[in-house]
Amino acid sequence: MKLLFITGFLGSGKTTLLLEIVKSLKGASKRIAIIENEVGQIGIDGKYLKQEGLEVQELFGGCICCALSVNLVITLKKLDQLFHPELTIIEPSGIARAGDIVDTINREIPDIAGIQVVTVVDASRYKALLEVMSPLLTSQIQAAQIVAINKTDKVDNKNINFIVESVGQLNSQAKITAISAEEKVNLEAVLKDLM
Amino acid sequence: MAKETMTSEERLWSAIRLEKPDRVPVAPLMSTAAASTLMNLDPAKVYASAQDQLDAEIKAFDAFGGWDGVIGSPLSAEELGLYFKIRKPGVDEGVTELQTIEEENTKFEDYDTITEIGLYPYLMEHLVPRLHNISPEEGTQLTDNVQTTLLEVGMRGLVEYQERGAAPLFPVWYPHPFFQLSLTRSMVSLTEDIYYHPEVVDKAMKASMQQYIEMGIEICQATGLNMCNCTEERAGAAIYPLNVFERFWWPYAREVVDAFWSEGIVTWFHLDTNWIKNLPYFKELPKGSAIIDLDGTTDIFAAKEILRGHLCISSDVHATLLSLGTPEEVENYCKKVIDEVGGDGGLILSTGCTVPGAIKPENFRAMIETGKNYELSKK
Repeated sequence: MKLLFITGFLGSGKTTLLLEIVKSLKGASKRIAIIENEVGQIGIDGKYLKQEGLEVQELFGGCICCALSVNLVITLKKLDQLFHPELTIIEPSGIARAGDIVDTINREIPDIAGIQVVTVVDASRYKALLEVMSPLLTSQIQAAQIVAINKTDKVDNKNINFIVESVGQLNSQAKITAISAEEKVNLEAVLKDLM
Repeated sequence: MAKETMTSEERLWSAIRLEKPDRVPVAPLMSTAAASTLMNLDPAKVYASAQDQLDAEIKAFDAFGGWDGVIGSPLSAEELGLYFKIRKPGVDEGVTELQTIEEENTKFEDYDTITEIGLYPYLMEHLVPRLHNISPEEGTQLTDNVQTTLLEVGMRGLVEYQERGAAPLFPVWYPHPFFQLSLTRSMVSLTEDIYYHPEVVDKAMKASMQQYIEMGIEICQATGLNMCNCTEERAGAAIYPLNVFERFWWPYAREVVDAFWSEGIVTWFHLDTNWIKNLPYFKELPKGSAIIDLDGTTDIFAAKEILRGHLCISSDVHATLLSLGTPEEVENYCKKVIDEVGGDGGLILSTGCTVPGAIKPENFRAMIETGKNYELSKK
């Protein structure tokens, strides 16, 4: 089983990107599972996705504390036994630190085939978060192999360039792509990186 | 086996005073979800009422041989449901423990009201009526009723646990006003407020602190306890930078401790996420005036080096270890903590955060038994 984490702060557009990724994978023969965990209302329609042949698990306990990793490991093991997914897409709570969760999974489920982390950054709030929530934002960016700078339709090019440069300084290894998940702008670039 | 020469109460307070007790006091922060798991109970039935929650937690206490420090009152659906939409076992499909649903229940325009009357009257007179679609009078009445029920449950819990020889910790979970505001305003919106309108957040905090302090003292006086909880899951340096912490959290926390301490009350700081960069600030507090309860994310050994001889540390057997580890791993970790953090006193052996709902009974037993029986290595 491979894992794809879609992380990012609350309201950054993780769910919209997740749905686009799911759509793009629908034609493939992969068995796909989705694990959702959020402190607010879950943004996806689990029943609809189940009808589409996807296995959807909602992870309760939205606390940022350690129980999230535990519940995730248990859910992954259960999914593997019951559904045998080739790919599981995980959308952890927007206040989770992806790096810590990935560490726990690597330790507790060593036979995972691969873990990829996409961090979604909200371009319209980037400067604010960088100033008043830098530790969480930084940790989420640094955990990623791919950073999708989302909502670029809401900011000007000067801002986008600033964010690209800033993200690059925080994580020089990540592939950085400016997108608008809502407007479906440049999504194919992220999807190509994922494949 | 460690020879016991102290009662649980003496042992607990010896650790808080930074002395060396006869053995480390053991105080797992029991949760109803964990009690359900440990006792193989149906969560839907256990969460039916706060009294049922307490019954389940007492059953777990008895079944695992008891321990030293306990919380009289469970975190109940009635209490959480006052201020938030919640998911509850027996009501929502697939749910085995309580979960709040975070939404922007407090609007930006509510800051005016909070600044005028304080956060807590605002919650009772404005937020509760709005959430439950009732009048302000009915909101106040509902809040009073829930608080009366919780006090009754808490008092029963204290009596039942004390009959079993355990020592009460704090009466209720009591979020720092910053955390309470973050929960009701939502983390996203509060973070934006801090960036765009910091003076508005300042005013709301200032208007609420005296109420927070007075209510904390009242709760302690009503229950006869001299420890008050102050919970914070979000203000640590893993989430907000230190300048935010210095402006919106720390001065208020210090004010709370000073006020409680002058009344003979110690503060139990329950601090989730990594607080290592924040801990040096706590050395400004009077020696022995607070307990620092860490969740297993903060490096407890580094924390000890910072707080040694100044404040008692409670913690921190991590949820991952308790849920996914083996009894041997739990035992070894507890011994290491007892030796290295408790070697010179000032340690309460507890769980990192509350006991997780996915707890393995054999691991929980290993933690309790190791705490009660392990004799400190002669280092």
